Amino acid sequence: MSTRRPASRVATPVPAENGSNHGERNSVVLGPRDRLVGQLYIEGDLRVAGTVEGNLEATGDIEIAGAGKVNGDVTAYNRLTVGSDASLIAGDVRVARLTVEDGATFSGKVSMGKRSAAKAPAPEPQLPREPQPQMLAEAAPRSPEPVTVQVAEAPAPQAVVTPQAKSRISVSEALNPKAVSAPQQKSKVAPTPPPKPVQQKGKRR
Amino acid sequence: MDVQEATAEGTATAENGEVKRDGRKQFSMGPGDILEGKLIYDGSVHADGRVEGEVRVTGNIDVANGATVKALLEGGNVTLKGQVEGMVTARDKLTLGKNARLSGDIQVRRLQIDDGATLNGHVRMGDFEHQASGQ
Repeated sequence: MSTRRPASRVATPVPAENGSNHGERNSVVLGPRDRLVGQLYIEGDLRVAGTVEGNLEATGDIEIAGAGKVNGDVTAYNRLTVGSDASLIAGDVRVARLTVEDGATFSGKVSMGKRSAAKAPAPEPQLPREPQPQMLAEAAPRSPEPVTVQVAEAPAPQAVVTPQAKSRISVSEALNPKAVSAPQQKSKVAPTPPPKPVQQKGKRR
Repeated sequence: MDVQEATAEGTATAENGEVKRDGRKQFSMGPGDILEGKLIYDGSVHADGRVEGEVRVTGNIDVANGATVKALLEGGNVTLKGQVEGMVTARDKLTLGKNARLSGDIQVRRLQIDDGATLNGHVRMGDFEHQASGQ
């Protein structure tokens, strides 16, 4: 069997912005003395010769080689190989292709064929949104809905009030650039306490 | 199950079985053959064509490439190369060839799955309680 080579895989598309090595597929190896307890998501290939307790997910291939032992769910968008001395005790195994060598220990619920393995790779590759003006970060925390933020993005940067204007900006004001740029005259909002340096991250869509 | 009973308890030697070199019997089907019902056989079975029901043998079962099986299969070594729907028990080893498509739960002592095979179902491995007599 020629499945032992770590880097000879059929290419699966991996997002280009995947950090590490450009163009090549990312590959992670857990050696015989390595041990992982927890969850692991890899954009690329994963080779386990050590012990894993927890769930594994890889956009490429997963190989449980040598005397590797995995106890947990396994999702491989491409291929899963369980070597002849390896062990996989899983709840769920979702793979596109599966090879189990004679001698391997293997149990679990296997799903393959339909693209069940390739549900959207939700984990946050694009968390860092474009930086938002400080003003918005100050104005937003009071209003629960993100509408304010989206609408307020429309005006050009100069339309955004300088940080001295401490009044809150209502949605209607935000819709009207003039109102925003001249808050001192038309502000209907009572002065509010000084802005908190709160910066919202995440959660915003 | 109410399929017509085609129970052959080790008596099928005359018509179907050939005695193999090692003295074990083999029940051998061709691509155009159809078996519906329950077969309990003291020997090995080569399944081809279409099989529906239940097949329990003391020897080995192999399902040919191109065969369509909707049945419970139980044997020593079970080798699948065709399409199988149903529970499979291999007292020793189950092999899924590269063209095999199995949907059903399996219970095996040893398991080999070749690249290209498709499996959907639960896998249980290890020694298991003997449940030879069905229901």
